[in-house]
Amino acid sequence: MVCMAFASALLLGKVRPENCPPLVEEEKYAEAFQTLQEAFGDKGEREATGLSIDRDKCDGCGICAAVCEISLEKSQELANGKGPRRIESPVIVIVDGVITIKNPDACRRVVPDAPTCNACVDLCPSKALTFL
Amino acid sequence: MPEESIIKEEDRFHEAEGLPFDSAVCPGCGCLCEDIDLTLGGEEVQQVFNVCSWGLSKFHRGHRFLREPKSAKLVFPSLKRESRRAIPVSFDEAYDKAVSLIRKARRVVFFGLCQMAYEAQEVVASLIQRLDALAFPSEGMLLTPFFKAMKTYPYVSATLEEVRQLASTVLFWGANPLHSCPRLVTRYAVFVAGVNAPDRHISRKVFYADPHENDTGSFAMRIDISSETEVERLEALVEVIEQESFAIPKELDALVRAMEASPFVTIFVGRGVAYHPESQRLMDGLFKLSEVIRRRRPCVLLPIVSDFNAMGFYYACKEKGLFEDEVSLIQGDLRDYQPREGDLLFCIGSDPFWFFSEEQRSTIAKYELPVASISSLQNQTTHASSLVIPVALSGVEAEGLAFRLDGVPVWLRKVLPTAQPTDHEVLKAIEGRLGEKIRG
Repeated sequence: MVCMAFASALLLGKVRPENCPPLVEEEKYAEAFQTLQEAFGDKGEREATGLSIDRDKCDGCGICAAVCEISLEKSQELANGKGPRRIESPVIVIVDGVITIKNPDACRRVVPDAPTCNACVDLCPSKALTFL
Repeated sequence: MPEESIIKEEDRFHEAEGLPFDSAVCPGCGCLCEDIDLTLGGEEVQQVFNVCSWGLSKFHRGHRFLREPKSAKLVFPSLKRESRRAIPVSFDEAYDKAVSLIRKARRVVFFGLCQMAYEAQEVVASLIQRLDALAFPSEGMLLTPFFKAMKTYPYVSATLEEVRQLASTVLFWGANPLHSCPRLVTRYAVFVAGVNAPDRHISRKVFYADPHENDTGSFAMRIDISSETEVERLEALVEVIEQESFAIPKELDALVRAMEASPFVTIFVGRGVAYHPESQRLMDGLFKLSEVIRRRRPCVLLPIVSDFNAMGFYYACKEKGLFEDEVSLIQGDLRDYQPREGDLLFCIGSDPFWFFSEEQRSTIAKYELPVASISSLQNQTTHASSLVIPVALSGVEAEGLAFRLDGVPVWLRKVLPTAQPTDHEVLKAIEGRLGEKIRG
């Protein structure tokens, strides 16, 4: 895989920085590797939506799910102020007290021509979410 | 690139295999969320849906606030003898010891009492009355001044469902909902559509009065208060609204205008009020504020309680008339407790030793005051106790009645099996053995 293809795969969340052997092994890339680790590395798992989740910061308040227009469309329970049922497929659900992406394909960030949306990131009170 | 290094889309969300248990009630805080879906595996909870991190730990039989909760369950009753080592005893022996400690005590002082089922709280309220005991409920700092203010000012409440539908202006005074009841804002107060707030947080005007900026600021406008100015600012607010004054202080302008334009106002009061040196005056001021607002539009005042059945305990005490006397047996701040020779510290579902000052601890040690604990979980207090009686964890291992922060009764469901008795069974056994004759 050439560098440009690897960078694209990195942005799409299909690979991690450590999957590139020269980045890990060659000293001249040490600084670049550290920077990429901070952005795409293990602490904040990067989802297909481009969302990086810091699980240590998340309290599971569910504001991210409650302000996600697509999640509200896909879950009647959520629109009524409850958590979604198992059979529903909103973009975001709260599992074990932490935000979890259940239906990444529906997120406006990955649907072509959909209006840009940053609601979940903008309103997260604990700053647990960032878009890369 | 190796195939295994690619994160597959289908791997991002896993639902654990196990027995589904839907619509459990969360005993994490005063919201008592009833939309919790669980997956059970054997006698453990494997996965919990829709739960915040506060409630999650309860379903894992652990302490609140731990991100990776571990079970802290107590296993058997124990008694400390002369060697100071805890020795396992039978439940019968433990009940007899509890009765003997109560009979020997000059004064029984109860702590906790807000994390247990209402049926058990009724027994405690009856014991407080019979023993002329003192009680320091874990939510006493907030709820004791709240219930005292109820005696002076007319009180109007609403259910959280009514708040969801009707509230268009929401004020959090001395309360950070994200740290007390994390899902309150998403389920009821801010981020959900209602008749008067069709566009959820966009339609609602949300404010928080706090000396410091905090994470509530991500969706609410701050009213700057400090302990020096808080009472004055509140009284200025009451005066402006009462007199329909045009001379609105700049810092209150947005709040007053939002209230004037709002068809329904909700005020949530939190523990911040309780930390004020004049907490009762402040609480009275908030009751007065809701009263003057109500002259022109509906307004309700609700306490944000983080112990799941704090309201239940106060209702049980109210039922027994424990708030009628001028000198109440139901105290507020734990820091006001002055240990006396002959006291028995009876701790139920709480950890007061975590909060005691050095001075309180040393006085307790000086007089060698006996400590008895009825608890599901190990904590500092159970370690300091001469008698420990373990019970089933309410809302997880035992069913029972609890009252939400708005006073709505909710039935807690039993999710996991246990061989341990409920707190109600333990207290009934002690009450039964105590019989009519209390002393000697």
